[in-house]
Amino acid sequence: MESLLSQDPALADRSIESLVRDRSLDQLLADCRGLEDFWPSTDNLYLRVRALVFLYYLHRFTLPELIARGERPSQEVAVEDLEPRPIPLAAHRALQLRNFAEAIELILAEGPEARLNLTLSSGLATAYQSLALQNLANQVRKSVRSETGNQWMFRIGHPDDQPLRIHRKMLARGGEGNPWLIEQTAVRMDLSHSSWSDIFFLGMDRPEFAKVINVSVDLAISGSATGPVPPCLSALRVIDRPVLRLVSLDLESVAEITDLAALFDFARDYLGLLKAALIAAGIVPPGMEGSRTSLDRLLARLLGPGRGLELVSWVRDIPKGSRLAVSTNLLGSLIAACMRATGQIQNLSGPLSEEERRVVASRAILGEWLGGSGGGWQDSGGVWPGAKLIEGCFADGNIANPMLTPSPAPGEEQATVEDSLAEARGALLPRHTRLDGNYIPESSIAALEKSLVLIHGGMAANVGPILEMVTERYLLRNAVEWEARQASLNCTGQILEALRSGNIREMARLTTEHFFGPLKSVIPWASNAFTERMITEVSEELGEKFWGFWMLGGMSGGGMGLILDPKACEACKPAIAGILRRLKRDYEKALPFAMDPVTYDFRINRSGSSAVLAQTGSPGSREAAQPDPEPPAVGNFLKEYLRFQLPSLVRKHPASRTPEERVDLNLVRRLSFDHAGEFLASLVPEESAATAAGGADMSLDELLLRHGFDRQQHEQIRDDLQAGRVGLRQNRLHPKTHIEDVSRRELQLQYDPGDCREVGEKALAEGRCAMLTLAAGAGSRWTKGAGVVKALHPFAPLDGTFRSFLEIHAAKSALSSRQAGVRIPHVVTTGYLTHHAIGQWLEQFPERFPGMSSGVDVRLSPGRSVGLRLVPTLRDLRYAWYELPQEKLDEQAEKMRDSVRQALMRWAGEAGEGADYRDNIPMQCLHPVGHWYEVPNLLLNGTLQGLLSDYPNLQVLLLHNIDTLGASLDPVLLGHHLLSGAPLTYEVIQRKFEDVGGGLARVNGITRLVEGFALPREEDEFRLSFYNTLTCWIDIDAVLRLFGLSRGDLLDPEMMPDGARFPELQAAVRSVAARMPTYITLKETKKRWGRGQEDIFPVLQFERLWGDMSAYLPSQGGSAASFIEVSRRRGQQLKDPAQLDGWVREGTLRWFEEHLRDVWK
Amino acid sequence: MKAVITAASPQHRNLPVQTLSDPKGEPVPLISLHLRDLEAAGIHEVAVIHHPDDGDLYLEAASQYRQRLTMIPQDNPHGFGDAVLRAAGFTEGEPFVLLVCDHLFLSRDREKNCVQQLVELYQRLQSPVSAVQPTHESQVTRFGVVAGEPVSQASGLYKVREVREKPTPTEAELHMRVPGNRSGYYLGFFGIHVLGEEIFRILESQQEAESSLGLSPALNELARKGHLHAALLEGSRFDLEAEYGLLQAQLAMALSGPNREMVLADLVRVLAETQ
Repeated sequence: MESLLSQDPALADRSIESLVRDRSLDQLLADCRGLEDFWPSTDNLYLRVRALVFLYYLHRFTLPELIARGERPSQEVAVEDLEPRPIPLAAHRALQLRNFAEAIELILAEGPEARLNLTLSSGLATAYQSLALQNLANQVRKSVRSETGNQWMFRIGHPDDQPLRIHRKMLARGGEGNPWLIEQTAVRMDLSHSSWSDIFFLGMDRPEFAKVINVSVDLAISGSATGPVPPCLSALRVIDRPVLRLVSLDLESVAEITDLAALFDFARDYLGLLKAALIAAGIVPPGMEGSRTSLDRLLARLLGPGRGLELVSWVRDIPKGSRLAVSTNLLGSLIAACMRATGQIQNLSGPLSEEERRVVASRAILGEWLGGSGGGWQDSGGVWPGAKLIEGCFADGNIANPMLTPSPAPGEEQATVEDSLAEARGALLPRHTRLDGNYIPESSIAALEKSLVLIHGGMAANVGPILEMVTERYLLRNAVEWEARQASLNCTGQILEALRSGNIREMARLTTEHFFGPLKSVIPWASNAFTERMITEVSEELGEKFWGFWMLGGMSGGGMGLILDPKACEACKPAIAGILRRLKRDYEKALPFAMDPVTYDFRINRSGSSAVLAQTGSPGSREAAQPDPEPPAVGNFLKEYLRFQLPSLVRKHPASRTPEERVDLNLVRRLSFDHAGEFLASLVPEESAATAAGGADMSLDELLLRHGFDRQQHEQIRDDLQAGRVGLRQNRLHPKTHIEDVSRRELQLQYDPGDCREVGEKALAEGRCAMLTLAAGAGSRWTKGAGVVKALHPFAPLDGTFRSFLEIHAAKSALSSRQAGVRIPHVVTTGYLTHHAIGQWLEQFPERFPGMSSGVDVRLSPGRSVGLRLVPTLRDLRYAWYELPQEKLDEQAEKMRDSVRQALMRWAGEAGEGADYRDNIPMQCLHPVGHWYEVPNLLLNGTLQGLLSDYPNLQVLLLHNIDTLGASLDPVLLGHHLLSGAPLTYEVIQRKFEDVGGGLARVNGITRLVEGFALPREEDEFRLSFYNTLTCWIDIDAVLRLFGLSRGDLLDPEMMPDGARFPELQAAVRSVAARMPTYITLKETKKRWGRGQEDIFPVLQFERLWGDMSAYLPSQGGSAASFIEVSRRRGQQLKDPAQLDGWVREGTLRWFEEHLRDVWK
Repeated sequence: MKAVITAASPQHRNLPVQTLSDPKGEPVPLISLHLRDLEAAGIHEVAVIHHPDDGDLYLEAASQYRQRLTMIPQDNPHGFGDAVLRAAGFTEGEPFVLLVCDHLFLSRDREKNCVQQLVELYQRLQSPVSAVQPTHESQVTRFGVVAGEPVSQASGLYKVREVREKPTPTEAELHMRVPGNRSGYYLGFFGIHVLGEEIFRILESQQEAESSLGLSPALNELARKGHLHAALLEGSRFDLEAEYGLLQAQLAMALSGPNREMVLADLVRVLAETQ
């Protein structure tokens, strides 16, 4: 509380780690009570949020750690209070509905021990964290709405109140077509964002930290004929129909909006940004949303009866993920065009005034909030010309801690903070100060231009989780982060100084130092293996010619900058392109690439957003189509626009063509002197090759054949699905099934730990145990369905080197091998998605890790089954999205989600419910059929036979998922498994709130693992105290017996795939498979198209799961499976990159560093 | 004190001769209504700035007031400021009431019409003063708008800081908000000003060959020097150029007179008989 309330930075900015370090459990519990009383009572948003984040930290990290260490409060706590206790159902519901305060209240009502119980306190941690983020998001939304200059648009609710009118020059004179207003806008490069200080609330909380040097640039793909141009182009014209016609030339998408509801439906098509622009520019004021008025009435008021608008966007040559803030600047460009056309910007052509730029920037922020896209506080920098320093302002308009001398005088427009924001120290909109010409000589800017190579590495990762992690660390005043932030700010000052003095080499040194120092300290995940190897290889290949690296935006991997000796810059570009291509090939299966890397030509934009009014329809010579003052921009736009429109124009009957379509056709006629080839190509497009790109050289049918697709089973599942016999709802057990929780007592070691250890160590030393790592699946949550191999993802910087999941698992086996003094067999299962890539990894394994390969015998077990995904049925989609309880999102996000879902249901209806999903690259149409098959596959592909031949003592396999990084050949657990004599021992962990997807239950009296979607009711899961890690000790002989086989049978050479007894083996597997439940699941799959664009489609697939063996065993009358509780560090699965920060904070990364350091060597 | 009526707008040359029924039901041309108000305020010398072709027409409509009028044709017009500047010789250094002919002014004060109210204020302040009316943001793009600070202990009186002609709602929100006004409302010109000789000097200094000369920039210059006040009057203005502006003005005038109930009954009948 002292830290929270102190005005003294020395006290207020102490890190949470330092605050909790020496406090006893009693003191921490008192702190919790103090904070719990404080946060609801304070009106100050920032204090409230910080108190909530403190509470989150205490419940997520500090208290569980103390309890795990055995500390107990001085006040007596009953043993059973620390037993797993489910989070009350009502609290679960409250969390789903985002009623976080209510959830906190309900959990705390469980009694004071709620703070000490791991399960309950995990619910509290989630609720506190979510409430903090919700408070911040609400505040930004409120600030955007209440920004002066935006408010009026929220008050306009009726067409007759629309004050705007179209500029008269937007209407044609005489018989001409209406002119096009063409706005061109640069994108921005970010020289230093002072450690993400451009996050809105960070800038508003601490404007003195918020400093950004930002440069507007024009771009072209290296070597293109046009040379660099402003990448964002918007065009607007009045049309003679009362509709809003929206066109995106780069996304090749067009829509005609005839009613207001469709305009506010942002996710209906790819034109959400254009819709947001029309709304944020006040053409359709946001206050009109939900009004029952007609769009034509509003358009008639704005434009005159019978008229509409056509708005076109065109992003030239920049793929998604460029880190150049393309979408914000395109939005700014579209808004500027709309504001010019309605007299809100004084001049129809030419650049903008400073005040107009600020209004456009403010509207772009509003548009991003409306359209649900995220944008930073500096992102609309491309609207401004040249280089500028963007700084946070205090609410009174003064710059906080000015970096320039003399500081620019505050303008009136800055003093616009509303009463509702009185608690924020900073203003929403920062101050832009032009640097070129004033503070930085033109010669320095020119030198920067000559030294920089801009590239797009090809990765298009989502920067959202990074920003959330930065915010959390900032609020916690994490010590490393806080120091890095100060260092970052100093570095920004030094970069500015280097630029001012024209010392680009020094600037390059600073941006490199900034990346490897403060930026990586704040968020290690901003970097990746691809980026760091690229820097190393460029540095090695170019030597002294390479001056430095520059991370352009929120994270690396996409848009990046390399600073070179200007004398060698051009000549080095081919070498850089070569390195990028090679590295992309190396990491293609390990990291989510959306496209091939590219290098750009660029030029600093010195005019900012600028427009030209082009009267294109006047009769006359062909030159009329290329008016001054910017003929190339207008000419290029018209050519591209007409090329896109031509096929639909010529398809229309001449009598039904609209006046502007006739004007367009006349224009085609005139322009065809120069562009006949392009126009013809648009009418007769080249047929694409039958096989698609994306790493698959084979057609889908060939792949199905090769990977063991069972057509008969597939057709049966489809029939069952269409008839409603299987489906998401049918996954569930019968409603009358009796579900009970399992107590901790049943999950403890049944034998003396010392005995267990002894037995286990002996077994290891005798070579009786092997590892079995499941790596056949893609890990779709990890890369959001990008189809890369999760096992190979080098995600964790251990001692500064990025290590993949597989490398960490292999290293743990090497450690076990050293400890046991034997070579450990380690099987990695692979599937159609992963086999080739993991095979390549294995080929390099001995060379890359010579120390490890002698101790670990890594073998692959290729998959023998594959499924073909299906288009979901509407019934299943409705069940998943509308019948199952849904997590409530923020108001705008909820609208977006609903709109997307409606669109996807239309897609499913049109594509055919239950039809084969073939409309993607072949690899994305296949699916793995569940980890149950992994053990039978060992038999079918001969891997187990090979193991038993080479390691005759082998008795136990430790099966675990690729993302269960803590799984290891622990002698105590192995000994326990052996002493128990159970065929299978499953490891479970105490459930935390975030552990969803089933768990350990007693089902009709039988203890077994059960999937979340198989439980009779969704709420049944919340009553289960233990969660399945999937890690499972397998007695090989016992499992063989289940299949009706013996070790001797298996070692018979006739049982091998081409042997005479192989059909026996197949029949044995098929017979057990038939008794395993088939689950239908809904998965998200990415479809990539255009230039790095991605869509996510829901598809159905089926799977059979290894956990169901725990139910199968008792049904066979033999011994039942055994279950044992393990520590969280051992059982935790890393499913989502957003878990990484917590994972590091819990100390797991450090543990790996310490224990595996010698193994890497 | 003298008065200047500007009536040279090329789009609405017929408005000054438009006949309306006054509050008592008597048909009176608009220009005569204005002249009647001026007479009540004790102003007998009035200049009318008009299109060169319309002078006789207006004189005829002015009927009994025609002797008081000085007709100033505005040939080769260059905007509203140019029209006002043509009256410089007529005012001869005296303060004058400037009144636009395309508005109707209706006072709620039974004793004083709108011109009288503003003239009294001028006499008290001895400073140029413009009448203003709270104007909704949906209308601001049609008027000059002022921003300023309320003068303490003088309800409805403002010291003007800035004048902008036809601002966009965004501009209005950013720059023209006035303390005490309802949100979304701004102080738009009423159509009556009392000005002095200074305005002519400013207009002359802002005049450029062949470009349009506005009055608002000149008033803004006055404001910048701290010489302009704005006042809310007990009354309303009706912009006759607006959609159904004439109808609204006529209705308001009819409803403000002794025959209010009869007019209301007629309105109800019209409502009932039309769909």
